[in-house]
Amino acid sequence: MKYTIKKCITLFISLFFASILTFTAFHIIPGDSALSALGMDATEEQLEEYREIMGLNKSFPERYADWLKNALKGDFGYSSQYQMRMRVSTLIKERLIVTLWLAVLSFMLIVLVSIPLGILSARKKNGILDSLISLVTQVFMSIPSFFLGMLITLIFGVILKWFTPGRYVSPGENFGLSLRFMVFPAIAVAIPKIAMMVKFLRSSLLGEMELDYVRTAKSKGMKNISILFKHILKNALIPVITFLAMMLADILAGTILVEQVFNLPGLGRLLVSSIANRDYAVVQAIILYIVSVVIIINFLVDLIYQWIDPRVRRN
Amino acid sequence: MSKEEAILSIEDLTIGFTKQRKMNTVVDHISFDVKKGEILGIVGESGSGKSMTVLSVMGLLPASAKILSGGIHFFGTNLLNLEEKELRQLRGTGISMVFQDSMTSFNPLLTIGAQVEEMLRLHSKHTKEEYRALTLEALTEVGLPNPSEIYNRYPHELSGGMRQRAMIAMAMITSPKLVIADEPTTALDVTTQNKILQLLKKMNEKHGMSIILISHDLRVIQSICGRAIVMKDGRIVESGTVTELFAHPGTEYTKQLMAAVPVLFSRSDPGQNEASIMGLKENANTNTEKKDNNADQSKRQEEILVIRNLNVFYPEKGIVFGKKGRKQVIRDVNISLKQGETLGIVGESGSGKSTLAKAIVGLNREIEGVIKINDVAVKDSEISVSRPQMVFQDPYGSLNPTKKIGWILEEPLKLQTNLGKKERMAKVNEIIHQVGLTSEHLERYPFQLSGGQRHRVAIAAALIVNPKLVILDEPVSSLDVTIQAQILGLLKDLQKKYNLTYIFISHDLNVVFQMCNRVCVIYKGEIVEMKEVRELFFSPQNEYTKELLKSAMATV
Amino acid sequence: MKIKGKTCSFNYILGLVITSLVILIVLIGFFYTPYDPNKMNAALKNSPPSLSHLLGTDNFGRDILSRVMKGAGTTYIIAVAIVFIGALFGTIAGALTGYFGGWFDEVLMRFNDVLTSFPSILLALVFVSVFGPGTYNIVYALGIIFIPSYARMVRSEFIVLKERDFVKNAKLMGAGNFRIMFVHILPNTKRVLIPSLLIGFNNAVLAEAGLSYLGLGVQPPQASLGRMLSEAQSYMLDSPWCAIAPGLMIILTVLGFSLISGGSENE
Repeated sequence: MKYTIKKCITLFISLFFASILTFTAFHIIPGDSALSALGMDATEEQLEEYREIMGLNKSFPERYADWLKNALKGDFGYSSQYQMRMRVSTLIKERLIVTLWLAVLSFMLIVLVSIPLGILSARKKNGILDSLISLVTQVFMSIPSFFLGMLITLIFGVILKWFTPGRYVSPGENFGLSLRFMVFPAIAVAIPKIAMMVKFLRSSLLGEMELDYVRTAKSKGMKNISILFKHILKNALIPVITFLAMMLADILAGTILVEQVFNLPGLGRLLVSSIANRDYAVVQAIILYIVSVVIIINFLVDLIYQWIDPRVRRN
Repeated sequence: MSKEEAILSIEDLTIGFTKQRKMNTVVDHISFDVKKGEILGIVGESGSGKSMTVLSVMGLLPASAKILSGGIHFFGTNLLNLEEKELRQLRGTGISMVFQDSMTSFNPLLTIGAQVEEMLRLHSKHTKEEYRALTLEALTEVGLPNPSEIYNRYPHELSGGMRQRAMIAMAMITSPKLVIADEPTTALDVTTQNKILQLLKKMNEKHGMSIILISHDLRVIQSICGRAIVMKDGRIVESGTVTELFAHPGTEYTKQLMAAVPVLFSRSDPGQNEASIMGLKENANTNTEKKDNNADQSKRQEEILVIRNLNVFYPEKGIVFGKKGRKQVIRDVNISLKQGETLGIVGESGSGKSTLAKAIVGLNREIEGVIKINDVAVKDSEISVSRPQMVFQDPYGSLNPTKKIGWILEEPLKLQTNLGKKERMAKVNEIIHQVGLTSEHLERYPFQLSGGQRHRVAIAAALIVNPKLVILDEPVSSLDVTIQAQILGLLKDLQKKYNLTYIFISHDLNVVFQMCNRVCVIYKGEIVEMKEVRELFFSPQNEYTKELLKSAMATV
Repeated sequence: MKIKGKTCSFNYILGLVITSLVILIVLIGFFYTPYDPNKMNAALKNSPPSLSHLLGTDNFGRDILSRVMKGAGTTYIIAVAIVFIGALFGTIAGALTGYFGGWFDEVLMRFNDVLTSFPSILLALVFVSVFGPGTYNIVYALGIIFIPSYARMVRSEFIVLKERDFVKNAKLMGAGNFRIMFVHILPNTKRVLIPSLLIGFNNAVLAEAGLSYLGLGVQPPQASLGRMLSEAQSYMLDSPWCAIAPGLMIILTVLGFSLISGGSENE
């Protein structure tokens, strides 16, 4: 129980810190944002009016409190980069599904591919298959995901025509087609992560195999396969879970680049264009979203940890 | 009359290891039998090949080990010719094993009950309820209280003794004909050790299964084994009944092993402290002379250490931040020590001996009370200016692995003296020779030295600055018995030469008897008795002291 | 096969070969490139690899080989600078917090936890959006972003090491805290620190490539591998060599170092 409480406290502190960090980052920009919003021709009254409306005359903590209050309600203000005056929250909602879909698909690919490969690699330790997998994973970890995306677009999109590059189909519209199109960007995001996971899982498994309780199980007359699945896997997966959680942050980062390559209308692309256009309201909001998701998932993983590992429960 | 048939027969067994293209023989053409219903002891120090031998019986040798010759016959079948599948069936029902470290030998994520039951499930067919009932029965038989509660517990939730019992239950639940126990008590306290050994004996008597008991500790072997074999460097040096072996050791090596453990006890005189300390009396002669010397000198020496009303605490961590409170670990300790004396501090693990040592030396500063070394209070300065030195238990941990020995020895001189480089190196050379090593060793790294050599370096590092007081925390417990004797001899010589004052912390009463003038016994953070050594050993007053002495020398 | 007593695997040797090749190319690039990397030649736009232009030309007619040589050099220098900043400050921070602990350590750890929730590219993006793009800015941004992971690693090493007997021994012998931290303890972190420097280099190369690809890193006309990839993207179908050359260079760089740092483990 103590453990859970400690983790909850950490959760809120982290979220709090994250919001402060994000907010601060965008409000230390030198320069008068009223001026940059209204242009050089604006009169002093207009500038002053703008400052009033935007609350720029309030103190820093007040501005933060205002922003936070609104943020918790889901209101992030207005975007400045489009012709039409759009609410930031609207913009984000439209793009969120795309990025989520990509992230979830990538995650599933990672789990489905890396676990069997990792187990295989550990079982056939030092064999030809293992060395091959090892080399291949090293190579894939060296390929930047966006380059991989470019190659995939070239080979599967243009040459083989298995999907249409640049086109996005939402899962609501046509699930099958959406899946077919989205799997390729997901592969681009997933492959470097699969490589890392396989390596990690392999060494985790091999490490467990050296431990005494495996010898005990053997001395009881268990078959190697049974030992693997009934004893080793559970122990080896524990560090893997933390690793997966860590990778989540990476997956979200990967989507930013991959959306750019595949021209997907997701949060990542919105983020990049907002930065280029200095649309800080949007940037702040997206960053806060992403970071919160990561923090919350890490928190959930910590809870799961407690459930799985009795040694942690003791506290 | 017990049947004399052999159930296990090892013939001309040779096992080798390939390491970097070379073949190292670890077991060299050994042959021995295990008879039905007997408890056979295998004695040997580390590297003797005893573990490899039994692992080969179970078919659990690591992949890099190869059986080069010989046969292992179990009830007539040569185990080396069996298929893996057949071997698997044999494990648990024919031969079981009990390992040394019960914490790591259990899967931390599964309950004790599940793991003990697993043995049953692998070799027999029952309903779910029957499995559970049989498991609980096994847990009860090994003396575990509340078996149904223990069934649901995880390994880390039990004490060492309970876990070891559970491991025995696991090994026995399928009624094997032979149980191999590899150092089953080494990780346990003296009192618990005896209980586990008695349990094994009870199992042997009740179920008639044979036991192979492996240990480096002669007392363990003598307590329950009928016959024993002595192994060294992969060969059997001597074998015979335990009484024979102990009464008339045949070979030099066996004699050496016996001599290094001076407390011999005769089975014909159960529970008699006086009579069973025959060995002590013999060795007492060699000690008397030195002690008389010290007794004279102590009249002329000053008090070097004064401790009054010492309480030591341990900070406890709070939930989110820093420390929340503190736990009292040492209570109201009073000690005074004269120069040239050796004080022994004995107690079981967890009694607080190490904490006390750290407090004296200044490493633990959560203290209340007075500690004065050479009349300077320790509390006032960070580490006392008289700088008592400490020799730690594990020399590998106390030497910085990234530095050469020469650097390690020079460092205290750099820090505490104003000597120039040449003078420092001269001192370093001097001390390395005094501890029995050469200048060549100065260029090596700790991992390049053997255990005994590292101990010598640790001692040298402590003594190079001529400290007044040296605290030795279990300085020989991780060593093989023959090397122990060498190191203890070295310590005595150096003490005589430099008039050093030692505080000797140990759980090993023999070592304490050999080395100390006075002994104090610690139990749960308090000194329960402090006397001159012979007085304490021969006429202990306190109940706990009596208990401690009894278990160290008990026989059945 | 043994080199200096360390058993080397095939991977390690392969890594050495690849890395030497790559470093050679970059070193040469510092002094000599076949053409001026920035010289445009409209006539030769998008020409495939030939004898005169070994790797072809890009959409501005610039020689790709020269641009790759120079671009790799830029990328490397940036990566080294990033790792230097991250490792130096990270080690100091990790040593201090790991050794002294206390409330300062707790606060810093919470802070560290929060920072790790920010995918590093995100932090870099925040930095860049605030301070603007450019080579120096991404060096600062990524350098600072790398600090927490080094700090965390060094800190956990220190937490374990400071309990070791040789540290207690050093205290008893009169060594002061800073001496203990940097003379006694730090060398024992070599085993984890050195491989992490290589890994850090790889991550820095990939991060810089990513940022430059997004247009937020190295600015034109300066060549950088990431930048070249984004320019080449639109021409992938017709002139794939524009993308393959810089892409391959990145892959070989990262692969070489990772084979070296991973390949010398005895399995």
